[in-house]
Formats: sequence, structure tokens, C-alpha cells
Amino acid sequence: MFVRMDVSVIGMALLVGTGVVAGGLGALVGIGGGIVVVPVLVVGLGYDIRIAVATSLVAVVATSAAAGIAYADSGLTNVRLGLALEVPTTIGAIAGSLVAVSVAPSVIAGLFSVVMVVVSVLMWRHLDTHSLLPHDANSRTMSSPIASSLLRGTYSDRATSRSVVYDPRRLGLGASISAIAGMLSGLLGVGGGFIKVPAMAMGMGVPIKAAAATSNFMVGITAIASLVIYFARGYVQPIVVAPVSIGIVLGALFGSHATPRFSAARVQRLLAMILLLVAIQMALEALGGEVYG
Amino acid sequence: MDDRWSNGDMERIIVKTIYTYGVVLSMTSMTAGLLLKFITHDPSSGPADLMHLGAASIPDALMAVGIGILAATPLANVATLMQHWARHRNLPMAGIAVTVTLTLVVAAILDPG
Repeated sequence: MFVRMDVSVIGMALLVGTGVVAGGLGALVGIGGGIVVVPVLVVGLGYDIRIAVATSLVAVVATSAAAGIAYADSGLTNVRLGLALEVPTTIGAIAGSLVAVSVAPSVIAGLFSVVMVVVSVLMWRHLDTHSLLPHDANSRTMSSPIASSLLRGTYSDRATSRSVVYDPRRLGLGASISAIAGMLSGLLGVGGGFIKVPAMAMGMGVPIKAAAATSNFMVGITAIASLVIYFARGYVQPIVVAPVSIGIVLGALFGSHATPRFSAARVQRLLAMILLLVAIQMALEALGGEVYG
Repeated sequence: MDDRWSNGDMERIIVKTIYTYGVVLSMTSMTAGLLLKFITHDPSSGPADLMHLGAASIPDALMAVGIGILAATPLANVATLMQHWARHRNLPMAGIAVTVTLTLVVAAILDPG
């Protein structure tokens, strides 16, 4: 249990700035922002890893909630698909948390970084124009009429001025990858949005912006389970969490309003670059680089 | 196909409304707490403890409440959507929402932290 913490005015400004960057990136590509918050707090500002992770979890929820306002309004968030995939995600997170006790995280991080490099390259090269096709082009491959109607998503794409209707495909594949994302979340303490977005976009035929918004909706729910533990153990420090959260909300509001104006290809390439950064970060961790402190 | 199976606008309204209230209330509470910290020249705080708010100073309590509201927002969304789908007899989605809630509870209990 931690006692009282001091934060200077400059430190407070740095925390807000960290939140703005994390929130903006998180909202743009559907990740929780934890990959920004944790390294900056630990490596840049010298905070304890547990306080950084607890702050990151609140940051994930803040990004999800702030960006979710605009996403829900524009129709980008597929609430039903998000909740359906949240079931295997949380089950995977439980399994990951249990496995984490006995498996060396560096082994998992090493394997994971290799996977992330492959996914980021695929994301960069395979710009998913197929998932932007109108409904009838996608609907031929939907899994079943009931599942299709239940999870169908619609939104108006401001970048192309087109109405996009899509039916998520390969729900089994999406559920499996969500479970893996949840497991990695439980093992490595990451949000998992960076694996869910490509899974939905490339594996399930969900348009990249809808995948980012839906992932954003999901990561907020997933973070709650771990956050409860950190709350109970006294790692949530309001003097650190509050400025980061305020910055996160500002950044996320900007990012979520900017997303509809970005082309799908640009968002996808930004995500590919972020995935590569995460892969390098995890490879360093696996090799003993101690990126997370 | 019955209308209740389609991905309705009501769900978007529910999510947007709860997110809006959650973000506004939590940010107001946290910002007020931080401002009071500056005014009173007290740049420190203890761990957020929602169970013993009475023992904390007003700025610390405001920030802790703000964090608590923020953390409760996604859960409020799931609970309200569950109620909405149950009311409209969309049993598959209501079942999914119940399952999500249950798995979250189990995850919180089993998570080794």
C-alpha cells in the first residue's frame, strides 16, 4: 500500500500532456492509450510500475468513455458486436491472469512481439478497401442470417460521404482472437485493443474505423476487472490519475472527432506504425530491456 | 425479421448518454479536486479509497469520487443495455450482457493483480 505522493506543477503539466497524447492516439486507432501512459510514467517520469499500470487502466476507461461519446453518436461503435466479443475477451483475460502466475511473461512477450510485427506489416500492406464496400458485397459471406441481423453495423462515412453497412463475418475467428487478446491482456497487462482492431478489420470484415470504435468500447469494459484489484490495493493515486485522465479526455475528444475525417487507409497505417512500436517495446522487454521498469 | 433484432438507434443513445454523464461528472469532480489542491497549495494525495471517503480531505475525496464515477461508467452501460434488451425481449443480447457481467465479476475475483 502506498502512502501520500507529491506532484509538482511541472509534473502535473507533464501528466496532462501525456494524457492528451495517449487519449488522442487511443481514440484514433481504438487502443486504450496504455502503451503510451505506462512507458512515459515509468521511464520518463520515474513512477512505480504498479502506479503506472493503475493509472493506465483508468486512462483506458477514460479514453473509452470520452471517445465513445462521439463514436456512439456517429454510429461507428457496434455495441452488439463489442459486447459479443467481450465474452471471450474476458474469459481469455481470466485464463491469462491464472497462467501469468506460472509462465514467464518474457517468453510470451517475445512470441507476441513476433506476431505483432507480422500483423503490422499485413496492416500496412493490406489496406482494407473490401471492408468499405457496400452491404451486398459483404453479406454473401456472413455466417448466419440471425447473427448477421443481430450484429449488423451501419454508419455514415464522412471521409467518403457514403453510408456503410456491414455484416461481421467469421464470428468464430473473431471470438477466438478476442480470447487470445484477453489472454494477452491478463498475461502482459496491456489493453488488447491493438490486436482486436486488426482482428475485426482483417478477419471479420469490419471497416477499420468501426473496428477502432468498437474496440474502444470493449477495452473500457475489460479494464474494469483489473482496475478493481488496483483500487483495492491502493495503487490508484488521485494526484497522478486525475491530471492524466483530464488530459486523456481532452485528447480523446479531439481524436474521436478527427477520426471520421481521416481516410480509412490513413487510420490503418497509423495503427500499423503503433503496432510496430508495441512489438519493439515487447521485444525489448522479452530480451531484458526492462522497458516497463 | 423482427425489428427488435436490428442494431437500433436506442442503443447508441443509451451508450452516448451514459458516457456523457459519466465523463462530465467524473471530470468535474476530478478538476474541482485538483483546483482545490492548487488553491490550498497541497500538491499531494493518498491512495483513492472509496470506502473511507470521510477520512480524506475534500480535494482527495472529490478526485476519488471522480475516478469512481469514471470506472463505473462502462459497467453502467452494460447494465442499462442489459435492461434495454431484456425489456425488448432480445434474449440473445440480454444473455450476452449478463454473461459479460458475470465474467467481469469472476475476472475481478480471480485476477492475481
